[in-house]
Amino acid sequence: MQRYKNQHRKNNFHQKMVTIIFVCFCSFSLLSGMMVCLSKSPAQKSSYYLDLAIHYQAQQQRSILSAKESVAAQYKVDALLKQAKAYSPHDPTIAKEITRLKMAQPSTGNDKRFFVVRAE
Amino acid sequence: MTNVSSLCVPNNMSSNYYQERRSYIAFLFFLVITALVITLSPHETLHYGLLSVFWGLFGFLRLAYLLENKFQNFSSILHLPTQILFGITNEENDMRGFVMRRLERLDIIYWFGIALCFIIWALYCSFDPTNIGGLKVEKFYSINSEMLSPPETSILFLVMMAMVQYSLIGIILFLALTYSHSRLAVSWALKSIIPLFFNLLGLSFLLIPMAQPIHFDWFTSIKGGGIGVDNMMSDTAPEMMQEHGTGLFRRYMNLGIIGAFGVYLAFVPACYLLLRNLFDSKRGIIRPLVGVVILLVLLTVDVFFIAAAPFLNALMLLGFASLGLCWGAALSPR
Repeated sequence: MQRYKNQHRKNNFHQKMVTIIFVCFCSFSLLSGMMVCLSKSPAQKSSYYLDLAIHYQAQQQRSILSAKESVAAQYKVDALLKQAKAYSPHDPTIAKEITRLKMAQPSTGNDKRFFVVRAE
Repeated sequence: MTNVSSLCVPNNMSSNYYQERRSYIAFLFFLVITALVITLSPHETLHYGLLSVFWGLFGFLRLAYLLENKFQNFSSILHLPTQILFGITNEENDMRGFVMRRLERLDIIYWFGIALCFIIWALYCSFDPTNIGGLKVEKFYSINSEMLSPPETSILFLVMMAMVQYSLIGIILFLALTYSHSRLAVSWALKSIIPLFFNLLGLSFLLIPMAQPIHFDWFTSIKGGGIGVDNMMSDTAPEMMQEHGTGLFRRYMNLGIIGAFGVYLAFVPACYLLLRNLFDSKRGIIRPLVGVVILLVLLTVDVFFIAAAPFLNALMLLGFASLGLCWGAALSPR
């Protein structure tokens, strides 16, 4: 009788183990799946920042901004390009796009702070 | 002596088996859909996320169905009236118990345990990576070791993507094990997904180049550089990954020697059981033989094929599902 009880207890323990581990797997799957669905991939984030940078640069180049706004926009473009680079540092297409945008940026002199002061 | 007929559920036509069949057909259908999605849109992270959520829910529902005991709320004296009034049969409960009893084995727990340890090891390597720039390779490749540290901003996303893939394999293998009690289910798999698996294998032989042999000082990296390092290596030293980037090699980059070879330990019980059944004259030979062949194919693909084509992931997924069915067919109830 005792032997039967021990065997029964062991079986129950095995069933609990299988159930717990499988529940862990399903939870892993659900959580990671939801996180992947809800968050953007690094490449998507880089493209998002690049799009924003292109938008600000286009504004700057159309000369619709005042001198002060233009400098602020340039700071924004610099920061956005840095962000884009941080998310996909080894992606060659992103790197090429960043180089192209940097080349297209209008010059505002060597010292931007000086330029800001002068503009004010 | 084990009675062969007692090892599998008889093919009677009761409603329970019809219910099982519907669920099994849904499993096979979604498995093929998953393989198709992985093959056709390998870079769509949203698809992976949705698939992962779907299989997680499927797993929970299946487990809930198997663990539900309809007699639990009634005392034993009410079993007969319950059966008469509500049509709840003992047969359904017995079948669920039968399926769960087949899985309460030490080798299944061992498999699950190793798989969980592998996931924990992958997390540990990703959040505390080692520098693999000093990898000792026989040939010279220009590897910029500074570029091999993944950006902190994207580590979490890369880890989540890897978790999605690992948990998909785990859930699909477990679900395959829960359906393997039926001989009919296994023979359907032999007629449907296994031909697909071998077709994909043939395609792999035609389209994917085999890896060139290379000598490594494997023990230089006990712990890997974290998940995603293999992709960075594809950017920094593309020629190396084109020549040697097998699944094993990529795993070695990411998780070190423990992760690369430790995963094989999980399949030792399946291999032992399938081989024991293969040489047991009282058991059928086809299912264990197919299981052993699938195991060998998965090992060959992992060690020798360049892991670049998207359909290789689909092949692995179908292979794990078929292995689960053949392995489950070799289990005996306790």
